Amino acid sequence: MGRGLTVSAMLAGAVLLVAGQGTFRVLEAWATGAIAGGMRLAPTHQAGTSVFFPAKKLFIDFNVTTGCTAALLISPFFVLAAGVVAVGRTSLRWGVAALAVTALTIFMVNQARLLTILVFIRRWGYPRGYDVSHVLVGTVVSTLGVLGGLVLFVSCLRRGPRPQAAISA
Amino acid sequence: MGSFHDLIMAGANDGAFLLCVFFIGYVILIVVPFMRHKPAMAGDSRAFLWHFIIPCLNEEAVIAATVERLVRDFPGSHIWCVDDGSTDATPAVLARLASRNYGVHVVTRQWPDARQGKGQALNAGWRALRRWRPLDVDPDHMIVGVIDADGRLDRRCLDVIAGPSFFGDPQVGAVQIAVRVLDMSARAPHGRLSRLLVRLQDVEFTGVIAAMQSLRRHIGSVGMGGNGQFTRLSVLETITVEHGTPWHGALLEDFELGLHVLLVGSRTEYCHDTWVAQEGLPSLRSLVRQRSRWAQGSMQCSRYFRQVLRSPHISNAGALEIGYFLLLPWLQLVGGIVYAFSALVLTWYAATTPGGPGAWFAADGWGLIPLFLLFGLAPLVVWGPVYRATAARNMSRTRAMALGAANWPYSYVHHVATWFAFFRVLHSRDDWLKTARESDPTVPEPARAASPAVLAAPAFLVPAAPASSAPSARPRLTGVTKAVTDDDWEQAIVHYRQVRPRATPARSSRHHPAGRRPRGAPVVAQANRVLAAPGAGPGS
Repeated sequence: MGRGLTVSAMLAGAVLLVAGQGTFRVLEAWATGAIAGGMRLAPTHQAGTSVFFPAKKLFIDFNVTTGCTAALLISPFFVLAAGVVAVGRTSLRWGVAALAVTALTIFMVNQARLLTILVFIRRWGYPRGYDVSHVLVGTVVSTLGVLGGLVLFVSCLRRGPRPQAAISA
Repeated sequence: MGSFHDLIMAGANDGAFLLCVFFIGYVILIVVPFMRHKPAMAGDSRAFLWHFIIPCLNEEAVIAATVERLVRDFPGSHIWCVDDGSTDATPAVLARLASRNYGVHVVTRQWPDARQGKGQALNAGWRALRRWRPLDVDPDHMIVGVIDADGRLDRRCLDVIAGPSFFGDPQVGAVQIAVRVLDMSARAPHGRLSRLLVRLQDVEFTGVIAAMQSLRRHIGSVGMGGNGQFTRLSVLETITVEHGTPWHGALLEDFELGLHVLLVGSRTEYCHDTWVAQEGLPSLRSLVRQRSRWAQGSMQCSRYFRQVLRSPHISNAGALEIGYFLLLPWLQLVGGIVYAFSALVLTWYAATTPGGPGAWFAADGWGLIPLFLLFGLAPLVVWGPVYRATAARNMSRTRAMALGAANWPYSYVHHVATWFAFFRVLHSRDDWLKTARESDPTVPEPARAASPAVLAAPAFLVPAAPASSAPSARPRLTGVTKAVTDDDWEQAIVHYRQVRPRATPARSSRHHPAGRRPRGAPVVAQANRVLAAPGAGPGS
């Protein structure tokens, strides 16, 4: 019963992340603005999915688009976790832990990428700072982050117990 | 609608990105432990009884040399040659070999039961072995090896796999050894492309596949291959109790056997310290056919996905890895579609950007170049230097990098083969011809009711297996060739030993340190000529 509910919740989470990615982007923009302000990277103002900040005599509207959000990167892990929990390859606890750790890692790495782009724009202006950071640096950061999330995901799932029932011939 | 359109585009891009990251992660995961591999301690092959099963289908050009080498290098072993309805001189060759050697047995399959696939041929050999087996022999100490008719086994093989890390450990049920792919054709020298193709196959087996198997050693999911697999007779019998025969009907009957070994609770191991060599395929067409058969076999083995995931005998990491491997052909199909769609999206962006493709490239498009280098090229090029470090130390760094670069277009062979296999699955076609080798001679078409050759020595006529579909057509045959000489193999073995230190057999209870300095420079130079330029060596 608990396993079924957990699997259903995970699958529902995957669907909600995709369907509600607009709301998720608002959350990401808020987080970017809050972190940038807290770390004194830039004075920011957040409105919807946009983060506004000054850079080289320009006022930048930094929009977290559908292509920038971490929601679409995290949702496949919900499906993977649901599959592993459904076949009994891990306990509910470790399945939820794997998902939580991975989702948080990818979210924070995406924040790191957005902040990197913000810093580059502040430093080198637009469009130069944006072009370099958005294509190259951002990709490297995302790659390392998703790799890290994947390693954590698999590490957590490995800790689960093996299935109890043997397969009959 | 615009939002949905953006979602689809973003989903395709993120999907492609995740696939790339997973791929890079997997490559890192297999390369790192592989480069840290240390030779295992060898054992004493006399602690076991060794049996080789060699399926034979029109192998007159190669089988004699193979059997004679096995008899010479492994005295005391038994060799079961399964004549699977050959119509060339193979039966006569086998009869002569059996008459001269006590340990050589011929198992003859007759039309229409012959040519029902390699798995059925192996089962025939195994049944004959079982009937022959003395009852007082412990099946745990009988090891059954499968060798291709053109296979060349390292002389140290049995001592190495008798070691404490392999069959010396009672929990180990099956061992797969490393496979080398060499240019064994003695015909007119192959062109540059053909030699490169054979070399890339060697990179694939000694690099990619070996690295995957090294990772699998750590997580308990080593897969069996068609050449150089060794299994305890007791494990084969356990599988038989559950499934009727050890080998079954999948096109990847070897991988399927490995799954069965794991599912019955035994352990599979991979040994990189010894090897079996086999002939490479010098033509792209035959290579695509072979890989298509493998891809289709892998798709067939998908039926074990649920069993593997639910098995208490397989670790979580092992189950995930096997699950990934079973899903790989399907992931390749999906990935092909995703990447094709992403390419269309990028093309659309380039075409619709104000200022045209040039403006698009100057603004964002240039970033594709480093992305391609990182995700598309680096994970494939890395195998050139890995190959140089692990199997071809005499190769120059430049040549290794060039070989790695050539690995990139070579990788697309698998994508093409997977699609070909998919269409065969859709049309429910699983009839495959045996992959013809360069040394196969031309012979007349067989009569339907061909009778077995007269045998001078005792032979095992296998009881008729259950009738299945109509016998497959004959394989495509080529011109008569000269077999590879022993000198070629000696030089190949010497070269291989330059890069794999010898593991000293433990002939007493004292520990013998593994590893020994290879031979001196003149021999290295000679071996280098053979493998670096097969067209210049003897018998090429």
